[in-house]
Amino acid sequence: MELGAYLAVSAVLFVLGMAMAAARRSLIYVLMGLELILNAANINLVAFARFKPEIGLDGQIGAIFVIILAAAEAAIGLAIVLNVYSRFGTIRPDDIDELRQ
Amino acid sequence: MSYADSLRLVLPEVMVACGLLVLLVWDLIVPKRRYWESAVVALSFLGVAAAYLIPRLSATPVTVFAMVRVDAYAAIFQLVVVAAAATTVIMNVSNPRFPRDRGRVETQVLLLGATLGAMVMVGTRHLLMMYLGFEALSLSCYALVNVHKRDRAGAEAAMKFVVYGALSSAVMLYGISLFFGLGGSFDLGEIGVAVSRTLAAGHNFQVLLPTLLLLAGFGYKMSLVPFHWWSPDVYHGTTTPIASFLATGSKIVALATLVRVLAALFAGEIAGGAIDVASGAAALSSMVPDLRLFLAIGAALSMLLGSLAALQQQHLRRLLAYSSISHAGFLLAAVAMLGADGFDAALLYGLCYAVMGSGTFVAVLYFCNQSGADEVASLRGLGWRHPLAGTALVILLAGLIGLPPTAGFSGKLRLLQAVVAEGYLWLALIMVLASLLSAFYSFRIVRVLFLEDRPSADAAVASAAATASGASTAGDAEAPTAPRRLPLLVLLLAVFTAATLLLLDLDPLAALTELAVRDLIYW
Repeated sequence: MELGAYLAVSAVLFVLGMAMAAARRSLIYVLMGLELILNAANINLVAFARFKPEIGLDGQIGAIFVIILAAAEAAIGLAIVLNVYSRFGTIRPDDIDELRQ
Repeated sequence: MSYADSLRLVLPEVMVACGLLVLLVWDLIVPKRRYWESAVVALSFLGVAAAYLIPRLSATPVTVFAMVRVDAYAAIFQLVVVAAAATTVIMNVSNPRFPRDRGRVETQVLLLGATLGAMVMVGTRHLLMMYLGFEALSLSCYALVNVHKRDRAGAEAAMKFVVYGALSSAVMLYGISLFFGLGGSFDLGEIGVAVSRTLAAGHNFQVLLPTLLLLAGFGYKMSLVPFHWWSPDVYHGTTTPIASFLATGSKIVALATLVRVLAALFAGEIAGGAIDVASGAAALSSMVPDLRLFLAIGAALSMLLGSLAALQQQHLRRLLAYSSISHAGFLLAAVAMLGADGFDAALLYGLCYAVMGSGTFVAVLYFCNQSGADEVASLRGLGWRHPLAGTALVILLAGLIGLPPTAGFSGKLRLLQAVVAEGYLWLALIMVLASLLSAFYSFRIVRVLFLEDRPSADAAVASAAATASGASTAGDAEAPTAPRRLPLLVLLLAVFTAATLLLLDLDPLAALTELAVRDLIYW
């Protein structure tokens, strides 16, 4: 049942991340929620690889790739958030809605 | 296979990556740059990549480095995305809103990055590799949307794109991690075997949950309801060339990847007994009809919502965004049938849509350059002054509606056949209804272009006002220069010729996709 415990932790992290992103309090919250979801997936990858020895190192290597991707995504995300802040003076997603008219 | 042979097989991707690197260095070492130089560099590397891809249309499938899949299926859609990128480069050069500062080389670099990501994404049967390609495409597109850094609309568009896009791709990654646990591998073939085994054992939920999570990512890339919210705002806020890349290149590659994934995951279910799967291949699991219904509902909602919302749009790119949501629904309707015929029809129509859609965007850019505004009303009477582009736009719109002599008609007919063959009559009815609705909004454009008479003095005042408002909303610090018509006209003619060739005979293309799909299912 040890694998189940890891999967439960990752499911909780996934739900927390979704909740943070869905609350849309600020763009920084959304980006943080995103990191939680990515790391939930990472826990899954590493846990599966650890408890199913026949898998080998695929899970761990996958997790490393995901960490790099998360960094790239955060870099681009934060750059866009910064640009939005200097144009609009706010980072609440609900306040930035001019295109819809 | 030796290492050098393997490297030779990934040359198209390497070429695009080289183009990206050359442009980055180019930007640093060449002191005086003209706007078209970076475009020529980008186009030549894309051209070389295409030259390597064309012979692959008849090649036998190979897997390189256990991660890259080289087959005709990948080659077709890699060619589509290379062509879409080349079209976007030429459109960029002809766009008066193309940035005059460093942004112009950045645009080409990011575009090549997106192309590379899309090529990797469709050319693999390894879920991690696919996800990496998906993210390279997404990350480049986030930055592309906001390449005019001082543009308020672009900033808002990029923000919405990142929030929706990053969230859906993270959800997709969670689905991938669950599939990894199910199959003990990232390889789609091994996961497909595990899926068959799990379904035969009756654990439907273990397959259904990761499949739905995976669909979130593809739904966002193809802008399907309920993951479509970003697309009208993003198309509106960015420039027409970038919107064209998102609507054709990015969307069609996502479709092709989705088909590849579904075909591999449910290989046992789709092919019946044709594949030697250890257990329970022939027994159709109860999950597949559920999934089919779920996908069909998503397709129906996309078609209806896209067509209905397009009816009320005044902004041209918003209208095209809703039209492309509706077309994504058409494509998904055939994919939802989860069978070789449906996949065939969807891929064929996807190719037709890529040609007709990018042609429409080129024509729209041409007219927007003439009028200086992006509203439907600003097209008033322009068809008479530019008869060539006007006629091309009318015929392309007829193709998008699916009127009889065009490729759009035979494409949509195949979609309908695939859907009706599986007994989804209600879905077929919705497809016909959505086509009728699309005739209304397309006809509105045609009417404004040609049929409304144009009082000369009023029109001059109106177009001056439109130019002023367009400039103020754009918020560009760079003064707009005179539009360059020649490259756009040549491009429009090229796309138009391609569309006409499709119109005359869809069968060679159909044979190509059919072979590619057989490859996919009976590998």
